[in-house]
Amino acid sequence: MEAIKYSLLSSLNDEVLEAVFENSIVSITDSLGRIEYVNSKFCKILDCNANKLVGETHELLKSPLHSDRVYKNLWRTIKMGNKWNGVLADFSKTGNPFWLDTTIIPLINEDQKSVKYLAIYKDVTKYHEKNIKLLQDDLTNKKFLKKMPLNVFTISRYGKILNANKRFCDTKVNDLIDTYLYDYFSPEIFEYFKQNIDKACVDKLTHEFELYDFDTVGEKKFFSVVVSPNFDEIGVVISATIALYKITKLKSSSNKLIDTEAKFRAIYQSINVGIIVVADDKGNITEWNKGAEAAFGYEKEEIIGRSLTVLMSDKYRKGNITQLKKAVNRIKNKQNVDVVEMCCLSSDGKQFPVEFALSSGVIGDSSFYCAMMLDITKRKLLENKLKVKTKDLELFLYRSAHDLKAPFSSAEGLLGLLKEEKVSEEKELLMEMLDTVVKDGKELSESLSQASNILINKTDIKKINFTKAIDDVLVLLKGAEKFSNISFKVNVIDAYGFHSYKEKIKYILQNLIKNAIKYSANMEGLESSYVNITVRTNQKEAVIIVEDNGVGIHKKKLHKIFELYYRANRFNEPGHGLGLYVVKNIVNELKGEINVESSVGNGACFEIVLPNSI
Amino acid sequence: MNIMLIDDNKIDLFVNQKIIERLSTGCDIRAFTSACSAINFLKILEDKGAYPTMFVPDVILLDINMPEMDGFQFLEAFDELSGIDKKSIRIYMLSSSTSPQDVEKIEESNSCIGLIDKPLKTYIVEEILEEFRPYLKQFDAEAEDINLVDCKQSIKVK
Repeated sequence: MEAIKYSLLSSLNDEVLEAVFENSIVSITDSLGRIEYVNSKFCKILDCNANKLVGETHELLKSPLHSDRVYKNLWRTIKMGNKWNGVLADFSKTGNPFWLDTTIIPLINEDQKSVKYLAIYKDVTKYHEKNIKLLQDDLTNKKFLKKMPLNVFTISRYGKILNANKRFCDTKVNDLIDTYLYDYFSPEIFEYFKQNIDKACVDKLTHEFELYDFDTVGEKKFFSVVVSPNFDEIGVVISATIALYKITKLKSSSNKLIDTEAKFRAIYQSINVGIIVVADDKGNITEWNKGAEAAFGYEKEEIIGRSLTVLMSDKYRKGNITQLKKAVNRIKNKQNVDVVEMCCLSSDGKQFPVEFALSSGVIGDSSFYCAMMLDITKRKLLENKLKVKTKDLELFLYRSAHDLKAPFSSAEGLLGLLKEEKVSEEKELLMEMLDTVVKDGKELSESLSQASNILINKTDIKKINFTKAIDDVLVLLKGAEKFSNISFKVNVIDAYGFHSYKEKIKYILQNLIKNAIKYSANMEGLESSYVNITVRTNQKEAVIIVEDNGVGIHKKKLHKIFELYYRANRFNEPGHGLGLYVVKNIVNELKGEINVESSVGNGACFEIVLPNSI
Repeated sequence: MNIMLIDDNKIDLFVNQKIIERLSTGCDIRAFTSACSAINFLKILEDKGAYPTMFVPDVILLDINMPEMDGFQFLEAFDELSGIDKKSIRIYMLSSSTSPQDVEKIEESNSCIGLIDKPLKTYIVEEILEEFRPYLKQFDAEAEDINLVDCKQSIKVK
């Protein structure tokens, strides 16, 4: 602004001037900053007399050498003849601080070529003090925000961080902004977290909840969270303020517990066994570890929250689900669950067999299911190979044993014819021996083929008609030596109905009865040989007893009779040590028990207990 | 009595034939080494009711394990035949196999009436002949009755 001419001042009315001077704070300084005039108000602020001030250097304006930028600026401005305006501060003579909104106007006297400065002040001390207080408050507030244990964020409805009070997860405030809050937590808790934030935004009410998460080391951290929505003028939620408070220390009472949990967590995360935790209600996956990731190819972020059926191949989905349901029901009824085998689908569309061990637990009101899985692709392959191999071998055994029988039969037939012919006694003896050899061979192949037949032919469980089975066996054994000398007593009490594998039961009966016939004693006198066959069934089991009064078995040899190729008899009866071995195996397979009581000369009693597979 | 033997094993055929011949001289035996040729033979019978004098089996002894067409396949083919009096033909399976599966199959079969263990034994042949006796014309009940009448008459005469 242009400088006001001195002459203009003199032209003003003195009264007006006086009124202005009375009511405002005014000083006039010469070009070197010495006070030439002060009014009473100015004196009052400085707490001293005008006499003492006039002639002194104006403390407020100081010297042009003053280093403070404000003064430099001031002097430059007024020396150039321009008006300056600003706030100046000082202490009164008695030591009170004051602030003055100052306007300095250079008054140029063209005649004397001298300059005077008219300064008009306004006392702004009050405002300033208020302002300073405000600033200080603000600073303490900021410090407090930083120092307090809460992490406070302003986030959008979708979790984007708009502002934060301090570092979080080793990320600076500036870097936090514009990222998503959810990114700083593990994916497992995303759903839960989001639901709670949504709740606050939808209800438009402050909402409190608790949250836990695991840090990178696997340590469990608890948070108490408060979310309160922020509204715009018309009441729409535009953002939310969220305060996270770490309450891990309050939650976990002892450090040991935290350590243990961290350990388990680490094991769980890194273990090669896939572990999938499934929530109860919808079958959605809530946890997912490295092993599962490796097996299925899905990453944690992709899979959590999705349904378990994603992991199943279409073809087997129905079967898998029914199998799972069954297992879950069994868990619910507190029954033990065997492993469930299922065919699963990896992310790249490959199918592979998986074995699941299921378990369940309850947290609060909700239960969860945990599936531990093992990729059994290799095992399955081997298993299948083994199955095929075993089948081949069994079939080979069966075929060779069976086919061996045919030539023996033919030879037996020929021998039969030969016996009819008239031959010398010497030749007859040889023929007798040949006959024994052929019969022996035939019996061996017979028992081999029978045993292998039991192995290869897996039939279904059927109701066993014991009476008929025993009759069949007796008919079959009719041709055996000594058969006609023996009286058979069959006693079947089968009121409950017994279910098992027909062929196996028949094999057991046939072998026990055959042995009883074979080792029957040649009785003299009134006593005759007998074989008693008793069968009793109930809901749980069947008891089969085959008892004879034959030659018996020596006590020392009794424990060996079920061994492969072991023959206990001293009587040179033909046999191959196969029958009882296979009987024992069948009984084991059917989860039954076999016992024998015998001593030399007192016959033998075989007792078999088989569970009812009804 | 006409007996048809079917077995791929020539030795077994020979043995069986011998045993039957020894027991009953009145038997006419035809042996076939394959089930195919046997069924073809039966087909000729089917075509021509015109061969009344031809050999029509009363009993067939059939081996189970044979190449090309086994015993059970023979039975199937036999069931499909028409034009011959199948009911009058009694078929026995003859095998060294006593596997339970075979036994079951035989029990289920309509046309086969029994399984005979190899080698053929004389007492079994006797049983078969015995069982068949009532069906034979020479043992016709009426004929026997006539004989009985004759006997009575002769007694009276005495």
